[in-house]
Amino acid sequence: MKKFIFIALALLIGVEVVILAIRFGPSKDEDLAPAQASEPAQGMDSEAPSAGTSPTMTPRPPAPNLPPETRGVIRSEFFGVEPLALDLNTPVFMQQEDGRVLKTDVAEQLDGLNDPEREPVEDIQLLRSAVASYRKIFRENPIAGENREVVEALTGKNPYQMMFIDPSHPAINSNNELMDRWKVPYRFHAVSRDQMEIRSAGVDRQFGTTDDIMIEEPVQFGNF
Amino acid sequence: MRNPNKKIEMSRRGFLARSACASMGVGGVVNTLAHMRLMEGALANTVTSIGDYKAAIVLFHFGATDGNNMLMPGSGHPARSNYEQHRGVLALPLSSPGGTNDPHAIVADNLAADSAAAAGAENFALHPELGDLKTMFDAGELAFAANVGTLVVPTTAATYNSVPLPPQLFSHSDQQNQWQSSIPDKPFQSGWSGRIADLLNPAWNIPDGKISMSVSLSGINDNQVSLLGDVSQYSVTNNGAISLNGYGTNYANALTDASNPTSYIRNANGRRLKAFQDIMNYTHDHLFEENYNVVVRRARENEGFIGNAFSAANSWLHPSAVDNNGNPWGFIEGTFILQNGINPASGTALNNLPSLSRQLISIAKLIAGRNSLGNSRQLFFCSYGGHDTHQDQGGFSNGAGYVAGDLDDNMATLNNALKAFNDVMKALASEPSLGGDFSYNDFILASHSDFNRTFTPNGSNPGSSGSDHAWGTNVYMMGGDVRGKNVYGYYPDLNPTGNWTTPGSSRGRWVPTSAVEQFSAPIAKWLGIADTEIGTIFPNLERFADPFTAGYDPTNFNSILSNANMDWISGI
Repeated sequence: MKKFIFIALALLIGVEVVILAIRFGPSKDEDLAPAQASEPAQGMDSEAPSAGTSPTMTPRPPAPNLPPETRGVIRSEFFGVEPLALDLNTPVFMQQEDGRVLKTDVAEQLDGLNDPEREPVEDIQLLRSAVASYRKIFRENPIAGENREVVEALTGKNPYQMMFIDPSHPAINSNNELMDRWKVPYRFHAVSRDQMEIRSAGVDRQFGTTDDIMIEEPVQFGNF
Repeated sequence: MRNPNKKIEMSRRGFLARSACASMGVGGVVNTLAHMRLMEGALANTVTSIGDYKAAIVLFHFGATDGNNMLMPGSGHPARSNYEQHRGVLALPLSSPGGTNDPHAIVADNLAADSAAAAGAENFALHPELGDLKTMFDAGELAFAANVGTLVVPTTAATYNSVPLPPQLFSHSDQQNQWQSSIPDKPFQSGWSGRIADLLNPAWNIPDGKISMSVSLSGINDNQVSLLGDVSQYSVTNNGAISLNGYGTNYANALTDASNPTSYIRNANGRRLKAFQDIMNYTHDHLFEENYNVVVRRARENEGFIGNAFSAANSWLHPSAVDNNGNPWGFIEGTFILQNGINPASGTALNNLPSLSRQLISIAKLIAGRNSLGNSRQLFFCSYGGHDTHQDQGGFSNGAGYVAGDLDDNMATLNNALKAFNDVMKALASEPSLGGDFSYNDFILASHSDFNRTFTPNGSNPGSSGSDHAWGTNVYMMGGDVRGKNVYGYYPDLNPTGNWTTPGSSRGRWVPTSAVEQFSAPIAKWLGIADTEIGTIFPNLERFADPFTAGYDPTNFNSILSNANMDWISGI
């Protein structure tokens, strides 16, 4: 009888420990020790299937010939934001010789950027769509305080080396900035990881005047 | 429905769960904090009255203040030449014709006394609108911390591309959130003030007592989010507690005496309020229903406590500020009205005060009326928006001269609010009618900001140009225990393409040389967090140099990373 009670108690304690561990155990993010932070995240090892041979794409280390800044890829992984897994056998992805991947649907749309036949506000809409496409894949906006950094993110400096706009697009100037149709660089305003305001200086080429062009974003964060 | 007076206490199972998890090491901060909270809770029963009062105030500059022009290099500072060369139209000359818009020279004693500091490194200047802050700085009541920001690990320009960085640098809401949590590398769960409250509330504040340890004048904020959920934020408006709608100002249509919640007037409003309060006094088995009633009950109780505190504060009258009815203003409101240059006899004097002054008035009243609130440790959060000066910041050119802009307005507002608040705190320390036990050393105010702004301007017109999103910024601290007249941390060399800025950018985005936790940890310790518990409040602090070690060695970045120069509070 004592043996039976002992076994029953042991089982009960075991079950309770399991329940507690599930209920109060660490989240996935808590498991990430600081020392792991600078190491490549899972799915980024050299054995990851190449884009040309696998129907799915996982984040991979940057190509050796890319600038060292591309190692910024670890930022997202450290925060636990995993890019979307993609099927590269769909026609929207076009592999480039340098290892980058062109997202053709967005790039084709952006061919119409600064087209004089369109309304200027449509340019903002096109750029918003490109940023939204980036965000859909990488779960956050480009990490950018400057126009140049947005362009870098949209032309391949991202975990998939994915291009959303052709780097030789005529709207990109020699400083690697996206310009509006009046040759003034757009102003990209990082409000949050989900919200990027895009502003053109308008015809007078001066920011802060009444002819500035931007699309009012739904208010998500008002503290600025 | 259950007994209205029944208290909901932690169950044995809950205790075992939290303790077991902590001891097994399966949890992170949550379980450690919960465990410590239980330890502290054992002391809670001994707290029956308040004493050794301390209040910490976080003032968040939402939108990101241009720290480069709030605290700039002064004459002879080694970074002055870069300031004048690269700041463009945003560079403010140390002297200009007429001298009416000149920055205010200050000298940092800690740098002047340190042989390791470069020649002239102690010479700074404050924005032209911060004249009263200069006076406070010179009096040892104010200090600055240079180049503070969100960091995951110690980072330099050289390691920028090889170490983990805070997610979404340059994004307003993300950086605001990370400043307030001080754990940038994890999804948000709690604020650093909230974690302090989790730990200190049971040991310092009257059990089940009076208002929350975490009071916000700026609505719900991230900084005061409790990790354990034990200390809820309590929002107070510029006019005091938030009342139930529909009963008139201060329940004038339903109560004969606002301070007596059962002094119902015999009318429809009085009966309606009585019925509502009766219903709210029931308890429920359903957790949602029960918690809804608990929140409403607590809010009504808090209203009374806040009202009592405000009443006590309002009894302290200003000797010279008289309102439009010929009656003296309360000392606190009168001080702010006069400091802001508003005619106290104007019928709208109070409403004409900037929001920041209104918020600090409420905080000052809650400190003055602290004996009604039941807390020996009190945390306040207030904010000041409108700093996102991408344009019209204000600048200078030889042709146009000084063109005032939004930064000038913001600095003037800040100057008046901080000066008036500081004056009130000093006066309160010698005001026997409000307890007589308050000391000027019993409060600390520290600023936060999303980030700094780019050092280079985004245009060449001094009237329309501004600055954009950057990173490490300059912040300030005020209070009797602040080791004032010092500049802590490390001031950048202000070379926008040099060793202090993010690689690839030529805008001057300083890589922080002090992490938010290094800057904030002294506040936690000052409030009473033990050395052994600091790591629970700031779990990433151990990655950085000990902020409590005094000293300064700016000779190279490695020494900076091993010497925080952030020991800015005395007596801890």
